[in-house]
Order: sequence, then structure tokens, then C-alpha cells
Amino acid sequence: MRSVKIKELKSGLILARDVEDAAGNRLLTVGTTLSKGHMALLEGWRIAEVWVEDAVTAVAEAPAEPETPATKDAGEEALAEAKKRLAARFEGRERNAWMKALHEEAAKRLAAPRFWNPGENA
Amino acid sequence: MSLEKARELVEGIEDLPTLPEVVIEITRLVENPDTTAEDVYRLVSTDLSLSATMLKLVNSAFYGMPKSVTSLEKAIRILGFATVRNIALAAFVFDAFMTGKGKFDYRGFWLHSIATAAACDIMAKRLRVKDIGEYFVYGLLHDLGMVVLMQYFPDGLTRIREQSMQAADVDVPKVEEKEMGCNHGELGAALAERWEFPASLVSVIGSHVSDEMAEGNKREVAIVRCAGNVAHALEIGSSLSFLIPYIGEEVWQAAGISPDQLGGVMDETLREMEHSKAFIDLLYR
Ligand SMILES: [Fe+2]
Repeated sequence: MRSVKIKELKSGLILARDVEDAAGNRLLTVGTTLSKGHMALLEGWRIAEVWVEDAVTAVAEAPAEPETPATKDAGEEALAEAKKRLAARFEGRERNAWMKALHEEAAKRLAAPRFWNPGENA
Repeated sequence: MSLEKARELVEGIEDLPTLPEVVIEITRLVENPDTTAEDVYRLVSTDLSLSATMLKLVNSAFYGMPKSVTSLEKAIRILGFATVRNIALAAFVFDAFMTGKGKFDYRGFWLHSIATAAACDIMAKRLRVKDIGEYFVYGLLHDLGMVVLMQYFPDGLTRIREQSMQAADVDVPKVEEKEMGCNHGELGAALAERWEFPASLVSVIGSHVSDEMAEGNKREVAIVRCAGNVAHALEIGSSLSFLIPYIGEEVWQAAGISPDQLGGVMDETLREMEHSKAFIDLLYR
């Protein structure tokens, strides 16, 4: 059993412990074989690392995503990241113009540097 | 009928807070056509904590006050009686369940509710509906049933959460029905009924979960659902579901909002959240 940072997770790894949020709610159960979808969820939940089994089950990796061009500015990058994070939560539910706008407009606001965050004000 | 089951569950709760006498009195006063602002003021001011919460709510931008309102009497005159009653109800629920038993994220829950209330308020203002103050409370209390689950049925809620997280397309209300025999809308409505909340509030709480739009208050329910999604997408607070629920065209239309207005609604929601610091601070005190 070892602890792995979310960014370094690979599909096929098996959870060795339950994943819980800060409040202790169980989010994923021990024994879950992680998929790309799970990893997006974990990122969305802002989980930093998880415990996984040492043995890795063989799962075909999806082709790696194209690298971000170095020319991209920070704003664009933040927007892309916000879009990606939301994509995991929309899961293709952008089936009408409203849901599409909700995704796009929210991403813009989430990417904005001065996004309101009550935790920071506390 | 699952509402029957919800009523049964609520009946079975032993340590349910009772509505304070002052809130019951306010409801009674507000229903009496001969009541004056002076009467309401005299009553509300007997309860210091209620007066304070009410002023915080009033000043939290939701009611579009041009300047900070420091006088309770003035606040009551500006708001109108129905809104005063609703704020009293909201203040009671908020106070009773601001934090709670169990291991759940109450702060995240209320932040989500406040953001939903802010978005409701903005959408209602854009539509120029008559009772704008009502919409704020619809948003704030629409998930009352979640409070019941967090507070009194933590094991059931934990099982619901576990099952909801296992796959992407889980129908959360269906899982709730399987585990509890009713969904969180019905559970909230049953409690609102027991506390004799106004019928419109009971109905919005009860039907915000379902896709079928209740005839009587289509617009209210539609606005609450769309506002909830705005708060959800902006990642303010936390709600049970990680996934953002699908809302069909007819519901957005009933809420009176077009796709190109959503960005504006979001900006105003964020601004209202900033202005609501005094209210939000209640959560962090
Ligand atoms: Fe809900």
C-alpha cells in the first residue's frame, strides 16, 4: 500500500483505503479500480492524495492528451482547467443551449483570478 | 405515496426543534389584515437573536437596500409582512441547523443554499415578479430535506451518498427513495408542513426534486432549480451531488431566462455573495 498524489494516479490502480472528504464523508470505497472518470472526480473534490494497492491491474491507458503549447498564457490555462473540471461534473449533460451556456460561463468565472471564495475570507 | 412515508419519518423524530413562540406569533400577526408595522416590530424586537439575524439578512444585499438598514422598524416597513414572516422562518431554520450533529459539511451546505437564494433573487428581479422576497427564502430553504437527512438520518444519507458516487448517471432521488422510502424534497415538505410553513413554501420544497413541474407553482420551482444549478456550476459551497443535474429546456423557459443571460446572472450572484458577507459570517462565527 502506498500514498499517491492525484496528479500521479493512473487508471487501473486500486484504492487501498476509502477516500473521504474533509468532513469525513466517504466519497469512494476501498477496492475501487480507478478510472479516468474517478480521477477527474478526485480532482474536482480537491483531494490531494489517496492510498492505493501496490499491485497494478493491467488496464489499457487512454492515449495521452496533447501537451499544452508553451505559448498559452496563464488565463487561458486557468480557463482550460476550469472547463475540464466542470466537464467531469457535467458529464455530457450540455444537451441544450442553457446547459451549454452554464458550463461555459461558469468556467470563465471560475477561472477569473478574483473569484469569490468564502473560505479565504473566513 | 412517498409523502406519506416522509410524514411518518418526520413524526418519528424525537428531538425536532419546535417553532419558537415568537415565530408562531409573527405568522399569526401577518395573517391578520388589521396588523400594523408597529405590531410586528414590537413582537420581533422582543427576540434579540431574531432581530439580529433579521437585520443581517436584510442588509445582505438580497433585498436591494440602498443603504445599510440599522433600524428594525424601518426594515419591517420596507420588507412587508409576508417577507418578514419568511425571514423569521428562515432565521429559525438557519439558527437551529447552522451546524449540527453528524459529520456532514453544514457550512458547505448552507453556502450552497445562500448562493441558490442569491441566484433565485436575481432571476426573480429580472422577471419583475411581485413577491421577490419570497424567492430568496425558497432558495434558502429548498433543501430543508437534506438538513433532515444530515441531522436525523446520517446512516441513510451516508448510504445514499455512497451509492450516488459509484456511477456517473445515478438518479439520486431514486436512490433516496430506495433507502428512505421518499426523496429529500418530500422529507423537507413533511417537516415544513409540520412547522406550518406557508403553503407555497411547502410546495416548492416538495416539488423541486421532481422533473414533473407542479402546476400551481411552476415558475417558483423552475427558478429554484435553475438557481441551484447556477450555484452548483459556480462551485459555491457543496451539495450532495458532485454531478450537475440536467435541466430541460422547458424548465429554463419557465424560469424566464435565456441562455445568453446566464453569464449575467452568475456575475450578479457572485456580487450578491460578496455583499452578503455579514450573513455568510454567521456560518463562520
Ligand atoms: Fe435539492
